[in-house]
Amino acid sequence: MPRITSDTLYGTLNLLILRALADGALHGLAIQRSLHAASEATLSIDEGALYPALHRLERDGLLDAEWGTSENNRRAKFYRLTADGRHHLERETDKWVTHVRAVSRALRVAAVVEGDLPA
Amino acid sequence: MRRRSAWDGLRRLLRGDADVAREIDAELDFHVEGRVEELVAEGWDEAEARREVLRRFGDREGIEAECRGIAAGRERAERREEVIMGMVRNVRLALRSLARSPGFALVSIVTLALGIGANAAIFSFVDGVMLRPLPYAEPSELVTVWPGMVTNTRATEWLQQDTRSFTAIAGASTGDFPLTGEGGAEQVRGARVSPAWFDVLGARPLLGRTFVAEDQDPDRSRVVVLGHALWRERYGADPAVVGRTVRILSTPYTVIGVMPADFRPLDARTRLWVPQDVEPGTTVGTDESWWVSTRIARLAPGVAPDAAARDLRAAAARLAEEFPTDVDSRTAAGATIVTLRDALVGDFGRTLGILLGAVGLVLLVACANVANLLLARAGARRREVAVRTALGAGRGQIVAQLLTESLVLGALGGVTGTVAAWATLGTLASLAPVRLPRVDEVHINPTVLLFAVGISLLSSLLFGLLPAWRATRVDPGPALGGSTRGTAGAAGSGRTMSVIIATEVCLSVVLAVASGLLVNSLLELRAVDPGFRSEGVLTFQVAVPPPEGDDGADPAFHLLWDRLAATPGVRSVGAIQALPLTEVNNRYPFWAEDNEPVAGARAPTANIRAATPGYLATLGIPLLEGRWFTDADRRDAPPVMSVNRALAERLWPGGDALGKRVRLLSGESFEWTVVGVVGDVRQTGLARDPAPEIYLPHDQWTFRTMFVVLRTDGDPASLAPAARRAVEAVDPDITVARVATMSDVVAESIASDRFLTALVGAFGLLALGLGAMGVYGVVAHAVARRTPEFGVRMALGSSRRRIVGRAMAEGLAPAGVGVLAGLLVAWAATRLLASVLYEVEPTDPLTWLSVIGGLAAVAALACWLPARRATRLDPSEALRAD
Repeated sequence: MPRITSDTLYGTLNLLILRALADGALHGLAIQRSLHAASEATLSIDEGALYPALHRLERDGLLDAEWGTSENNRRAKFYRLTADGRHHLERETDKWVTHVRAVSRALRVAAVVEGDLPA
Repeated sequence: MRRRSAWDGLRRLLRGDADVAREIDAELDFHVEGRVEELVAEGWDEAEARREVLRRFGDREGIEAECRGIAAGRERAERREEVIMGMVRNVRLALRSLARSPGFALVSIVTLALGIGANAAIFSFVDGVMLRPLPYAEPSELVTVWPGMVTNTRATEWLQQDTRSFTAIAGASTGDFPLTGEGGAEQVRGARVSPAWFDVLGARPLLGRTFVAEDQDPDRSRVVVLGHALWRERYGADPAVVGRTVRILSTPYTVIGVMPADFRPLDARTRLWVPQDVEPGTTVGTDESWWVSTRIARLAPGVAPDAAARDLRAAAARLAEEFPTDVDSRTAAGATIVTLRDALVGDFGRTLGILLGAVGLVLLVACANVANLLLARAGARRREVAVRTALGAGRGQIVAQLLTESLVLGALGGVTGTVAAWATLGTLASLAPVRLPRVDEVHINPTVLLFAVGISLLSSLLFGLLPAWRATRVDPGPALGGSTRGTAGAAGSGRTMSVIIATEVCLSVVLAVASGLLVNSLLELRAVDPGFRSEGVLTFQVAVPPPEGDDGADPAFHLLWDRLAATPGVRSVGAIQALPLTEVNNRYPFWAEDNEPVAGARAPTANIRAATPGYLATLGIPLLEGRWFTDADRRDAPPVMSVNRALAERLWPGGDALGKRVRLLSGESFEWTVVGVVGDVRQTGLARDPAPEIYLPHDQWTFRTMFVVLRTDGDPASLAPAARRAVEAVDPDITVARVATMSDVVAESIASDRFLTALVGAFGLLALGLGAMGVYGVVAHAVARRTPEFGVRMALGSSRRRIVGRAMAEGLAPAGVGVLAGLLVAWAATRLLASVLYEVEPTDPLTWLSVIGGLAAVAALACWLPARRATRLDPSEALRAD
């Protein structure tokens, strides 16, 4: 049973970043663009949330970073999934899907009672 | 886990916070520029676009700060991980490298193990005997009062009442207590103590109570407190033992208490305590109990030791003023206090200090040896180092790698050495003199382990730093070029090795000279004539219960002497109350008739011993004048005495001692007549000059406890069982203790000197062996290094002898320098030994010459053995040698 915890939202951003990097290394700006495009322009991620998240993921060993050259020949910091990161992405994606299904079902059947949710 | 090169790791290690901040700044700049370009592409004006992007960005400073915080955490974690991974990698490399040269590894580890093990073993003695706090409450407050002084019970009380600096002063005298009756006859060590004895130590009984003042009254029933071991072994740990009667030489004593197992007496051999008797109404002047040899006290709260010593000195001065014939005012002026721990350690502090110094030198020599092995190995590894340098490894990295190898060697040597120390500690402790205090507390404990770890680390740095630093001074070009012949680096390492060898030889010389002096001193000590013939003599102590009847008849002793004399193998029997060279000795004041007391003068003192007619002949002590005792000197015969030559010469230098009359102790009249003068005997130690001595016939001065001496033509030790049976046949209540041959007694009296000499000698030999190994190694290394050169020389017609000479010079030159330096250092250092040497000056020429000769021979041999190899060279092969 997926649990909704206080860092669900934060975890969501991480999951989105990991997903954006699943197909290869990208710099911060490209990640922002990619997520914007992938969500069909419904999601917009603030720099103020994006960069701390990237650094945190790098600290936790889910991402690896390396300076490289961008498409317009500037020095940019490229992020790439580590093996741990890829593993994390798969596991969390499964969880997320299960979770969303469960929540959707709950919303369809009955109103969620706030107190039922473990904090 | 990501794999990074070691270099990358090092770079990260060195990267500062400023670099991190710059990177974050650059990353965000890139983002801003990218967004601006996007907006410009959508048709924005560039300045407008920039403003818009920055607005959307919001608090850039805040974002940067947050990222910096996260990055700093990451950097820290990475650095830690890098360091650990680097260490693990270096250790793995080191182990692999050592495994590739097992001979080198083995020799190094064994050398270090010897050095570190010897240090760990000696340090565990220092720790157990000297460093650990005494096992009593607030041990730092405990002191001994007026050490070296013998007082009586009343004088101890006097000091207690006349001082303010101590919570209490308690006196004690140790003695032998023959337990008889139920449980068999058995003599144990015990102590007569003041009632406050246990209170001063802060000890509580396990069962019952300890002493109170009333227990000192000799007319009350006698009481005893049992030690835990005695209670367990003789009384089966009987919980109802309090109230039971035990017999000490047939006299009943009531058990009033049992001490707990964790109570450690000052002398570990003490197994029971009885109160000191105090005759009511006596004063310091009339109390005859002049045997209180130890006084302990606890400093009152807040009293400084200096103030307490002044207080005591003042009290002692008043005591001497009050009782001038009993207490000497000069002695009183020297009254002082010494911490109980220092008093217990006594002379052994010096012994252990010397030993610690000796093992320190051994460790230094061991380190020097390993350093030289590493240097020699560095020559062989130059190609490896060069390859790594060429591949981009920095000097720091290579030094770190080589130092790790040293640390691994140090750790392996340390572990091996500590295990060896642990395994031999029991043997060492059993070799230690029996008087060594707290020897039962000598263990490999956490303090000792910490010490072992410390010296292992220190040694690793000591022997590892120089070779590691030197190894990196390699120019990859020629080293990679293939040949190592005659390159400057190898010659340089040769010079470094020479310096190390000189140092090592210097240290070995110091130890060799010290060992030589100690051995000579011990030989001198063993050659001392004790004044009696020890070989062929068995000795043991008997305690004979007093006679039951009150008619004055005391037949047991004569029955015993006769029975022993009739034992097969016994040639003669004698007995004395205090055997020479044991710790039993009694010193009393006396007056001679023609040596009248001047008012206020102190009486001369002499050792007084009760002896039987057979004693003199059995121990082979010469009779110089007059006669010795006979069976006619019975209790009802006129009192007679014999004196030794020292006393006769002091009191009657004219040689007319015979017929002189003497008053003893507080005797009323000059009732004892001198009938004989006998040879001097070293009673209290081989190194001590004979003191004035008075012998009294045992029938006229009866002690219940006597040392029997039996002379035999055969092996004295084999006489023991028959002697025991003879004693038991007379009375099963007679205890037999301290069974030993007289030769053992003599040997035990110099056990402390032997312990010191044996250990320093062993360490000296060890250092000498290591030094010789070092010299050998240097010459062997030089021969290997100079093989091509020697080949050339031989091809050019140099004689084999000259080649050997050149090779030997590689070792003899530094060894010679080392010997000279060592002699200088030893000249200064051996002064410290002066106080433990007997009849040998620290500058004893014979010792110095023989040590120098011995060292020269060893050094020459250590040089010649490897140098010989240089002559076995075939010139053509030597030239080809790589």
